[in-house]
Amino acid sequence: MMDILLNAAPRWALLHAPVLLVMMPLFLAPVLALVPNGRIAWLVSIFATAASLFFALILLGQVQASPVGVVSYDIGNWPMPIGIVFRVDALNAMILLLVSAVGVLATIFSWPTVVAEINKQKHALFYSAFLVCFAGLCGVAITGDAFNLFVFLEISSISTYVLVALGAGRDRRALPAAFNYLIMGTIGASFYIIGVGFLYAATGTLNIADIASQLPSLAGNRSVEAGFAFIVIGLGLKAAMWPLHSWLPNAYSYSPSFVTMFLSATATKVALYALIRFLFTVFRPEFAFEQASFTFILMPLGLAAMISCSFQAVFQTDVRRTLAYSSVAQVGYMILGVSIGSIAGLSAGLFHLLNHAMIKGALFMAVGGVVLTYQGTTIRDFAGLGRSAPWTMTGFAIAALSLIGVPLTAGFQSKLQLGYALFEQGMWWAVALVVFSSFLAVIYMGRILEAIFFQAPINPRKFRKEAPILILVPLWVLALANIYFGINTEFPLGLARDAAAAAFGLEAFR
Amino acid sequence: MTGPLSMLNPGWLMIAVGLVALFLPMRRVRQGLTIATPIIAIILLALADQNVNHLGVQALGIDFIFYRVDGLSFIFGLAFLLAALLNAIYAWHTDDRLQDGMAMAYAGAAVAATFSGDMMSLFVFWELTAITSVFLILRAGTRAAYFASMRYLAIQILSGVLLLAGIAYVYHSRGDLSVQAFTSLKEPGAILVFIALGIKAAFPFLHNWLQDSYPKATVVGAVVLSAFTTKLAVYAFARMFPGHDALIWIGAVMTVFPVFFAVIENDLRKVLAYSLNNQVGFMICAIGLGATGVGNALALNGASAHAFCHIIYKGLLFMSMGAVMYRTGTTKASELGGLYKSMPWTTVFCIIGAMSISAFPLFSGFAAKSLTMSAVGHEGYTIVWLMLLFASAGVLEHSGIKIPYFAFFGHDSGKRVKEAPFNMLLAMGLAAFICVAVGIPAIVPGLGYEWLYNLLPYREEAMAYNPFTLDHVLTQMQLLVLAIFAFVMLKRLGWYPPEKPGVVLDTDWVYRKAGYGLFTWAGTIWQKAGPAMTSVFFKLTGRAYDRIEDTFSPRGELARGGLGSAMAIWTAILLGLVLLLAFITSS
Amino acid sequence: MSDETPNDTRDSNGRFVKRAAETAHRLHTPSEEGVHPMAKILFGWTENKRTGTLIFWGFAILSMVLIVADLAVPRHEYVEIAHATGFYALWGFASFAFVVLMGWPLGRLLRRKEDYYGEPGGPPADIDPDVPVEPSTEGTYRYEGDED
Repeated sequence: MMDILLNAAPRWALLHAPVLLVMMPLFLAPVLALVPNGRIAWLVSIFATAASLFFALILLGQVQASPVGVVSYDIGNWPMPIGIVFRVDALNAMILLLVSAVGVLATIFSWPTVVAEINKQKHALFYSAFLVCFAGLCGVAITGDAFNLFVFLEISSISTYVLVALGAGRDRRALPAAFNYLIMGTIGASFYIIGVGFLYAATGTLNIADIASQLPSLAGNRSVEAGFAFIVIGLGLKAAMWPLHSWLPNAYSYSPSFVTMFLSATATKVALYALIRFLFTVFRPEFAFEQASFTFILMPLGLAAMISCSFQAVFQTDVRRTLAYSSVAQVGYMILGVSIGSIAGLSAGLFHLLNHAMIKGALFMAVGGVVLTYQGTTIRDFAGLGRSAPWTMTGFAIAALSLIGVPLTAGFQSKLQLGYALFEQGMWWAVALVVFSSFLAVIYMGRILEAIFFQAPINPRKFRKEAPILILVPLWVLALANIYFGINTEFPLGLARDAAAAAFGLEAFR
Repeated sequence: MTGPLSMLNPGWLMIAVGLVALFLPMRRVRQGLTIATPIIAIILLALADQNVNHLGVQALGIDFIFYRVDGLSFIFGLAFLLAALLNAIYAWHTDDRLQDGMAMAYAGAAVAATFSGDMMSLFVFWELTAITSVFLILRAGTRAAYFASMRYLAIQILSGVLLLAGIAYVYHSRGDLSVQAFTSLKEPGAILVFIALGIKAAFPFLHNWLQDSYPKATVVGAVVLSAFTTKLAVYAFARMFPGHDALIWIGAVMTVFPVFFAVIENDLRKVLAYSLNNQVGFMICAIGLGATGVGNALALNGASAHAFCHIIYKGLLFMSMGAVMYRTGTTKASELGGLYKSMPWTTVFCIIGAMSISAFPLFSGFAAKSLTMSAVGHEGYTIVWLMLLFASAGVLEHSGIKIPYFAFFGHDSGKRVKEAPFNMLLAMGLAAFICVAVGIPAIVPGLGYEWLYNLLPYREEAMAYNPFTLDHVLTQMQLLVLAIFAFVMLKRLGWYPPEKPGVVLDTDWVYRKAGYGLFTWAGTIWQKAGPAMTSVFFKLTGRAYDRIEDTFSPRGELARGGLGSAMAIWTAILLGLVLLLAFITSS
Repeated sequence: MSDETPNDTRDSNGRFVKRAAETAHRLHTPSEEGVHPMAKILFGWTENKRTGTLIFWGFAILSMVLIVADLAVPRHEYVEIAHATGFYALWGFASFAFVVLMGWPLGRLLRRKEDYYGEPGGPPADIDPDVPVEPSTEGTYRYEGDED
């Protein structure tokens, strides 16, 4: 399939795919701000994200075809340590594919919810902000320059604050949530840039590959260690690593449905990507201080996230908050996979990252549908919806089962891989904790499913009312993907394994 | 037998029929189906060749073996099918699609699991037993039943999840999923499977889902539940962990401790649930012996025979208590008594069940338990043997005497009700017939304990064993008669504790009371701890932070919208930790 | 059952059949006080005042006989301790008495009020509809978000 794409694509697309992927949405964004009609803005957004998806696929094909597994693009033809370089290997090719694919589905899904939740005058501006955010996330994933990464991180974050705050039309609490997110996000970004500053002081370069090549000779350098600490915490905050996650539940529960859905599937994932990039490509697990922080910081935090946030999810009354806490718990799984420090662990973490994007994407889409038609997000509001909106809720149920980790779903496969990676290290007690956390997931998702399918609707006006087709289609694409990739794991698992190998700097391509 | 029918796992047939019954509004047609299906299934099973994989599929890189019969699974499967038949007759008077369908699917899932040759399909049906059976408790419709069923479901699902984790590990290390015995309990996969099975078999401290839920089930539901879940676990143990020493001791403890709870328990259906626990202990103990030496065949035969007889007589006892519940609306010993006047036939059948479970010679328990006791003695586990003998006296106390005495005799409660419906009597009569038929020596052709022994997995060894030796009968009678004499004497002296209404605390107190309290407490603390930590920080750093917060919080909502301020502290703490760690490890 | 048939069954055949049918009918119809007629036949003896005493002494004598029989019957035992005369009898008696007597302290220790867990019980839904039990009205569960 990749061959066909590479052969069919025009030459300019092949040559300039990396830069076009980011610049298309970024340049279309200000144009959208001038467009008067929201519907046109929506269509343009679909076009922009679809174009990015197209370029992401091209990049993936090029990376897989490349003998070294890397595609480099020097911006403005400035060579490497001086100019900014976009550098794509299997790891960020996977993330780019994820972000752009989710972006397309989310944009298609968005129109009905945006019409319902956002002030009509702001539709075009809303899509403009979304495209900036999208471009920023892609930029973080694609760039090979540590400072440029910061810039893109801020581009995406600032537009995210705007997007979250736009939820105020539906719920005024979106404003403090956005503000809280702004403060925390800024702290995280500042930590990151401080860390990069330390690294620059030690190495004199900002290019990621260049820093990586110089670090082994700088063993015992204090500023390298300080930089490491700041970067891990800064990016960990952005990735909602427990206990730096408390911005997330509010941001997710009060922002517009579309924003929640898009962010849950991409934002923390991209931050996690950046963290992985630094942990495995820039610094190396062989470094003593990194090994120690894996064992004593990241792994305990990952496990704590799995357990504590699952517990918190159990006690929530609002479906979106339940899902938000569950997201933090799932980030815990990924951190746990990363902290094993082996290729198997990292690929399990990345595999779960992919699957979780599909799961949470589908769940939040279904919730968005419910918000649209029934204006409520407490568990009580979901009572009896299994009868009045069977298609929406079946999609929800499939994703929920996948989140729990029921066999034949994607969620099960990623927990299986994580289990294998843990067993390989003899950490079967951690497997027991993973199992226990899944058990908690049974409870918190079970409560919602029980309300949906077994309780009588509280509101007699809840007659048969499905979500609109624009929501149902992307929802079911993701739901069926959960089942398909739960049975046939070849594609996502291959991506994750290649990505893990690339992060370790190995060329393990098929 | 050949043809496509020979490849049909009887359990699958029952599950399919159960699903059909779920949507079948015609009551008698549905009930006819639930009675006919177990009979057809028994015929299918009888015609199936043993030690052959009748149906296997290779998919997803796993060799699924959907239907395989051998000596061990045959006797368990047969017992399950007989129980399903008796249950269907017992439920004839009801009109409940959900209960009929779920009972059938539940039985089917247990049978299908028994005949599964690979662990993945075992797991699927393992979970299916949990999901289908929970409705039998829910249908009781009381609030207590609702909560109990949720706890039940949670624990059963936990068992399934652990089993799945164990299977994943086994598959990873072995590369093969066929059901086979684990050689060592050291590997984590084996431990996970062991615990998963242990939950279903209601091991000590993992047991109270059983006493919690079964007595709260419907009249029919309790009878159905008593047959399958725990015995499926016993079967799985016999399959996967024969001869693990741990089981001997676990089993022995399991026989002893429920005895004490059963004495003080007031709800007679709950007494039966404890008794179920105690009986499964005998089987587990026997399985623990079954690996090496002469004891092997004797012990595994003992476990299988005991399971077979137990399913029937425990079903019978639950049926009789169900009949009491049906007619009087209670099974509390303190509210019952003198019921023999209104329900004499139920009384007779209950006494037959009681004598069977107490292992009186000429009743089924005697033929089955003797195998286990001999095996334990033969292998030289004196203490275990004494514990089992103690537990035998205990069984006599709670199931042999307490159940019939307090329900049907004892202090007359003055309740005058109708005799149980005919279909209940018929089901009890059939069960009582089986209890006697497999307990007596082969006086009547075709009956007698030899019929049962002939079906056991180690047939020749079983046929060589004769429970009716003079010394064996004598010692058993000494044990029982003297124990009854103790009852008569204590009753006469007025030393027998009276039956009082009340709840008896068991280890489920930990999660029903203490755990619940702990959660509430932890939740409160958690809500308070975050701001509290923040305030400590304020005191340390002066009012600067206060002012910043005042500035930045519109209407003070920042603090309410999550622990934003506490999180900043967490960031600082974590940063400090990582820095410290990095500095320490590299210097 | 034939013992119950009155002596005048020697009348005509038809007469006999009618009597038998009457007997069969009587055996299925509870009397005015709600006592099942079969109960009299099967368990009527338990109502006798002297039965208790009789049972006590009967079991006492039977116990003695069984213990004495132990001396006469050669036993094959795997366990050393079981060779002692009357071991099973003693063990059975002691175990039973111990279990029952433990009921006193354990009852005080573990028994709580019936509403201890605050989950109202009551009989299941599928009992005889004729049973005069008030259907539990508290069976409804309150869900999250319920308005008070």
